[in-house]
Amino acid sequence: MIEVQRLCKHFGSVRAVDDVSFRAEDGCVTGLLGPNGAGKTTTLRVLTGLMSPDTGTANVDGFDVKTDPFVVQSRIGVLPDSRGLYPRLTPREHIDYFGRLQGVPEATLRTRREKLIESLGLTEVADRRVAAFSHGERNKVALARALIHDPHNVILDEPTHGLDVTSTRTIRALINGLREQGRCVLFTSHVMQEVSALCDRIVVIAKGGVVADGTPDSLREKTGCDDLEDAFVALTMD
Amino acid sequence: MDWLRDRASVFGLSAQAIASPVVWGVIILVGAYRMAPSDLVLPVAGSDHAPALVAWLNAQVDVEVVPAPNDPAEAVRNGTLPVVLVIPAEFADLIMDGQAAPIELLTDGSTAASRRLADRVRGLVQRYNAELGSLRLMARGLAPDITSPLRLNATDVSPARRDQRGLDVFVPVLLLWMALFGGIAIAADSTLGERERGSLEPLLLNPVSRTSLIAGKWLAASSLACVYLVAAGLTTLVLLRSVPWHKYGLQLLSSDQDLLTVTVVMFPVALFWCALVSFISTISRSQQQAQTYGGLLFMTVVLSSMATFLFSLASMPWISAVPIVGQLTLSVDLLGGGHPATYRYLLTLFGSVLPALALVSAAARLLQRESTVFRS
Repeated sequence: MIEVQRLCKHFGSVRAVDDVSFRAEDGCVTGLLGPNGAGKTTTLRVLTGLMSPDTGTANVDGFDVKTDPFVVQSRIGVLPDSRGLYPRLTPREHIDYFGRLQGVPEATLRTRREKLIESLGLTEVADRRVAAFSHGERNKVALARALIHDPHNVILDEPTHGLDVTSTRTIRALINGLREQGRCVLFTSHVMQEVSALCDRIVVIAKGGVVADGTPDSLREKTGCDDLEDAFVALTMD
Repeated sequence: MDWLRDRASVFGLSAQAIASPVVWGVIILVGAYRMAPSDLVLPVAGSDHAPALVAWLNAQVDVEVVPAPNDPAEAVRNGTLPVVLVIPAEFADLIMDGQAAPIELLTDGSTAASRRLADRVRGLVQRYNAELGSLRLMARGLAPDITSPLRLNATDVSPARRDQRGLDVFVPVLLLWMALFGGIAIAADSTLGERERGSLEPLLLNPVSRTSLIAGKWLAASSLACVYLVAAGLTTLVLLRSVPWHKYGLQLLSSDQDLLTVTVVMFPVALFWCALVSFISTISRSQQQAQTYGGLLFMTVVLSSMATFLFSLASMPWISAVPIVGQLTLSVDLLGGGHPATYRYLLTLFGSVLPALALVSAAARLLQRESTVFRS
């Protein structure tokens, strides 16, 4: 479970995150939505221990990100905004490298790696260098790398951005699978159709603060819009 | 591993490690060959005016007098001949009268070959001068020593470093080069490369301390530099033992153990330099900025290396603790036949390793800052 309480973060005079609070439950997919520059990425960076909040707290499974960053990092799997792969390494080597950084035992690492490669459809390219990979293939490698330590909480920053239909379906199936396994999934997306199809709960951030928090139906009801995209626009334009 | 698969970089560095000793060796060999004493073919204009002098010159070992062309000055000016000795028509008369007879040496001061031959000819003429003067004094019943109240006997008691003609310099400089460049690519990539590739953020999402990450990259870079150092050291050893240097007037004083010791002495340079480059990689906002800092560093290295060879820095004990300069002075001393004290080895080790650890620690602390991780 991920819990954020009254989170604030400034960059100079810019208030990037302003009093943000939300909770992402286990066994649920929580969407963190907002227009560009709303503070989503900063919130995720605080949650993953890469940034320190000015005030407020961020907890993962009850562990404070600020005081127990390594415990938190071992309990979350993150697909960050920058996928950042090493061009001359293969998917298998990427997964192994990050598995070892997470302290996964070798035998377990091999088993999990092969399972992830198969479930993400990377079998044919598993031993090729990623330099020539398509955007979708790179995304899948980054995702496999994020899940190798079997994290209970998964944070995905626009996981289907720029993917073709087949790859998008694979990722969506994976997210649904994570929910069925009882994991906590927090993800950002700008594709309302995807958010509508996947999310149990939606947190909308605009201008650094939370403007709505509820189920997709409750947001439609709150704004009086039938379409989630219209509801999103209505919430963030206010 | 990512870098090791960059074939061009790996090939380039391997070629440097293996080919550089060979290239250096050839340069020194060519230099020694050019500097080695050879027969002096001396063109003389007006040799009929001084048959005794010409006969004396021809009687010297390695000297052969040949006729000069009609316009000797033009021949020297256009580079056809390096030097020409011109004996004027009044030479014989002046000698007969017991006066100083002028002879002219035409040289081209802009070329090293002409200057070198001119020195030899001057030496020969001075010897002939001294012999003729002595004969004149003896003919007058005077001891020749009357005009030479002092006799300077210079004895070179130094280890015969002179005879190495650069062999003692080329080895440490070559090995220093490999220590500096062997791991630079990995060290430079440690933070800046990761950030520009976008892989720094995913890397820092793992429960690993910043110190471990930086130290791991530092050790990987330093290890690679040491591998290249050993490769260059062994190639140098094989080269030095394969060439008959004595045939070219060179003498290699150092033993195999000395050469291998110099290779090991350079290990701390690799540790220091990789730490320094890692630190620069962490503080730089872009590759351009890193290259600017790198240029300043290399200028420092070049100047300090020059200072090492121009001045007797080894006489200052504390100089051993200065990274790079300490290793160079120690190596030159060792290869020159000296026996450096143990404390100098320890100073070079700790003088480089301690700053390296401080730089790694500073880079790790900087990596804790958000501004370093998300710098753009």
